Amino acid sequence: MTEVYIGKISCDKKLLDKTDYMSDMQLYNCEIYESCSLVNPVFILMYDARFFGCNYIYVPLWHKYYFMHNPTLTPSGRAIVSCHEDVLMSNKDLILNLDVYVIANQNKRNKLIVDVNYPQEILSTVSNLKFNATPFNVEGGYNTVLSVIGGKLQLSE
Amino acid sequence: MIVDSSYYPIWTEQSDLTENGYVISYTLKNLYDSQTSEMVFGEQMNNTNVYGYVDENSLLTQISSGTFATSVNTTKSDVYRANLRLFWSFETNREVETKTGFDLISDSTNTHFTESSGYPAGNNGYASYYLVPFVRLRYDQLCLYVRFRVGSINKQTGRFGTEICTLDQILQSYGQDLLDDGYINGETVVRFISGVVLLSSLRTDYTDPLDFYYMYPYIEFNYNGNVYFGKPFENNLDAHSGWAFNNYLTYYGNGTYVSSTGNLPTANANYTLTEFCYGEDFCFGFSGDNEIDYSNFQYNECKIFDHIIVVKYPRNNYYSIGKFFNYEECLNIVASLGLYFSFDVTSCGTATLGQGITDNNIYLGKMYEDGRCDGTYTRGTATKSEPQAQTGVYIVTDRETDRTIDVIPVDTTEPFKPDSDPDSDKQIKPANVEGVSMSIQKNRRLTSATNFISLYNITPDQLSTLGSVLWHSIADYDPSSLDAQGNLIHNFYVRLGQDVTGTFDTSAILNYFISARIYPFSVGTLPNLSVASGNDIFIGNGKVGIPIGSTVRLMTSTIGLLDAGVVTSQPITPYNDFRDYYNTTVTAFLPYCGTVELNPAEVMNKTLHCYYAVDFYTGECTAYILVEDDIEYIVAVANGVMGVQIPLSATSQTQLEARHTMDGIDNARLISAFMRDVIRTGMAIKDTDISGLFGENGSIHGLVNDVLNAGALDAQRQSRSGVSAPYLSGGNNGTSFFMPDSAYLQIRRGTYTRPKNYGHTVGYPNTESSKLSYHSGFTICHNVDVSGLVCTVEEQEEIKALLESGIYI
Repeated sequence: MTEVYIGKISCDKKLLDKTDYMSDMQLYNCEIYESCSLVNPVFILMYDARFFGCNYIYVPLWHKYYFMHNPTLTPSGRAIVSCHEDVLMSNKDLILNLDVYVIANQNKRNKLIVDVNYPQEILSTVSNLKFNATPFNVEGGYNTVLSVIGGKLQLSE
Repeated sequence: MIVDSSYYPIWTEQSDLTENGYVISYTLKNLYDSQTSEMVFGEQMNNTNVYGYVDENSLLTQISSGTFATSVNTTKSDVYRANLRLFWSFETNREVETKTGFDLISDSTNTHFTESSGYPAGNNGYASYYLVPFVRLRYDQLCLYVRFRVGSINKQTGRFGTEICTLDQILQSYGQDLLDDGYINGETVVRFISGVVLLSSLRTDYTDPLDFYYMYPYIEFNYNGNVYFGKPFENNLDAHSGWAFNNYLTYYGNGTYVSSTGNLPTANANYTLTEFCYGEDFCFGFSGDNEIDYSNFQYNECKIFDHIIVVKYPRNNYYSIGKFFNYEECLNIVASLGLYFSFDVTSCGTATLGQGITDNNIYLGKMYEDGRCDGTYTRGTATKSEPQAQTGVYIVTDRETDRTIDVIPVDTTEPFKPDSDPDSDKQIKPANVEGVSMSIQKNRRLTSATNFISLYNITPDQLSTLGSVLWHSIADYDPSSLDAQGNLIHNFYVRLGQDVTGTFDTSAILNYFISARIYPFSVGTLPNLSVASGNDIFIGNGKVGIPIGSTVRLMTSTIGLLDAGVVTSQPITPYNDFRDYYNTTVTAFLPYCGTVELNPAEVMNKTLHCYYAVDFYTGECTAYILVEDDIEYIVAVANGVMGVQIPLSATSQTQLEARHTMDGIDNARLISAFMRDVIRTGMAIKDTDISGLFGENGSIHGLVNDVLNAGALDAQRQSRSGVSAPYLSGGNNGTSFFMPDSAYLQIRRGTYTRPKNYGHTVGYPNTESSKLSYHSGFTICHNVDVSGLVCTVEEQEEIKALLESGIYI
């Protein structure tokens, strides 16, 4: 006999730590239905109406969590439950300790990395910026330069 | 749990608060959850979300300003991820000790209600409105790069460990112990956040509506002689328990008000004033409606206080069951956080903090040197003198280069347009520049005027007068009856060897006038241009002066520098991220030179200075765009023609220039040979020498003209063409005069619309290499090495695939 907790989770399967989203985890005794892997075990246990709506299993003996597939009921009043391991939850502490190179994150952002996924509209935004001074504002006056051959330089400064 | 006694008058006898503080821990437990043996923390008061807990062995430590902190036992997961939301300190770059240096901020303020009667009968209890969602939002930001205070509590002194280290260092030092049981040598691990960190990130345009479901108050009240307590909605003690909580906002039907001023609603009549938020829409309980409609509340002026204002006030013969927080009280509460805050969302997003603060919409909760906050605050420019405004922002990062400004928390209040970009308050640091400055030689003067060619700065009217004088004299040529001007011209022609007794080539004199050009500015007043004044225009050997009736300016330097102003290259509504650079064009419009494309990565957020160099011999100009930074550098050079040619003879300018070009080299050879003789023999150049140069073939004027106009200046053109910066000749003779008279910068960018859930579903670019525990939310990793995971190969492969496709942390 193997003790398992069967209950519900209400979160995305890709959530690493589902602790906050587990509920109604009830203890059951079950047996391994047939030869199977730890990743995809199949349990058989006495039918319980509380199964319905449940989608998550924790096996304390293995320290592993499983996503629960639709249970199959047998004429003998038992339920066969196929599972697939939640590798994230089962190994969350180890995973959190991984040294990783993060290329995308929800809460932190390197603003200078080009994000080609950003939805861009066809429109352009144009900013016109004027230099704050100009010398080209004189009409008339001493604005003409006459260039002559020779000349006289001994004018008074 | 940290409780500020000023707001939570449970611990009225501070004598109970010893350094060992066992007494109070029981009080805490008793207050919050007498049903369990532990006091737990987290969003929910049940053990499915335990971030830490206190028990009978927990310590309570008094810190400054009557604030107390319990020690909290942590679980190992807390170390990996800074989820412990109970302690935070806003200490300004100081190493601190218990009681003297830091302040822990209460996450639970609120009120102790007075005795009342009426309906519900005998309602007498406590309500603890958590500030958790409000503060946690900031705390999560704070946790990004903060350092932790690590160590065990010294049970003799009640002080915490003094070791300051990063999360990685914690794991390196204590990792195995923490992995095993969450304790270090059997002692409780206590961690503190120390240092005022990321003050700028505390800016927010947090405008989410009030979410009551985050507020899990503890309710204790007396009904029909029985004392009920616990969380509302769960303790279905009777038909009234459900509204026990909500009636603080909605009870008495219309009786809930929040005010944005210090006024109290004193009569039914002024309940309708706009300063009060009307609570009718919160109706719950009596109506049987179990939905809370806070649609109005989120728009009222008090949204900054979403999580701290609870207003209960009597009306219609019902008694108060709560406390009215007036405007000033609310300010004091927020100010007790020791942070910047504002009621103006725009200011939150754009105002300069720290020493540069000027925005009067920005408040700062005062924090004294010992880390104490007493709820007082400063505002606007007065904030400059506060220690928090003077200290820098201390950020710990594992990034190789300390460009921490690039990595910022993301606010997902979207979708947005550029003018509402939540990240717009973050200034992108301009590109780094290394090397030496390429400075413009602003004070340089080129005294290139010679006796070969003279440049006169005159007015258009003077030029007209000159033409009149010349043509008048020639047209009326009669050697027997010459006026004074006619005599001058006559003698001049004689000097030229012209046969003045008959017809002669009248264009001979015009050949002494090389060019006349009009410029769009006052030439003689340029700072680096030398001029001398006189009344005549002299040509040839200088003995022939042609009076034109008013002052002329002889230019003794021939190249001028014009300052065309500066501009900051920043979009008017910047994204302040890659979008300001990617698919972005920056174009400089330079009058008389055309347009030049600039590299956004080089110029964005920089100050650009535009100069023009003008060659008055040719009328050509060169525009420089200079980046003014610690190191100046030129980012663009463009050539054009600024001087508008005024034809002086029948010979077209094109023909003249063509001839100049062809003759230039030969003539340059002649003139250089002449000058070489001058130098070698040391002979003085006299008028006679010069006049002697005017041979019968009149070649001297062509010689000089060609050399200076064609040879030397063409050489200048050729040297300019070697400039590697963006180069574009532009402008055209005369027609450029109708262009705008200022230089402009035009920045064209794409327009973007970000889905509200972009970060949650796609994720923002990130380049951090760190422990996965360092991150939160949707996270995608690259090529994860899972070899260190102690699990089966199948599990490793699945974990690897999941991490590389994205998981939620």
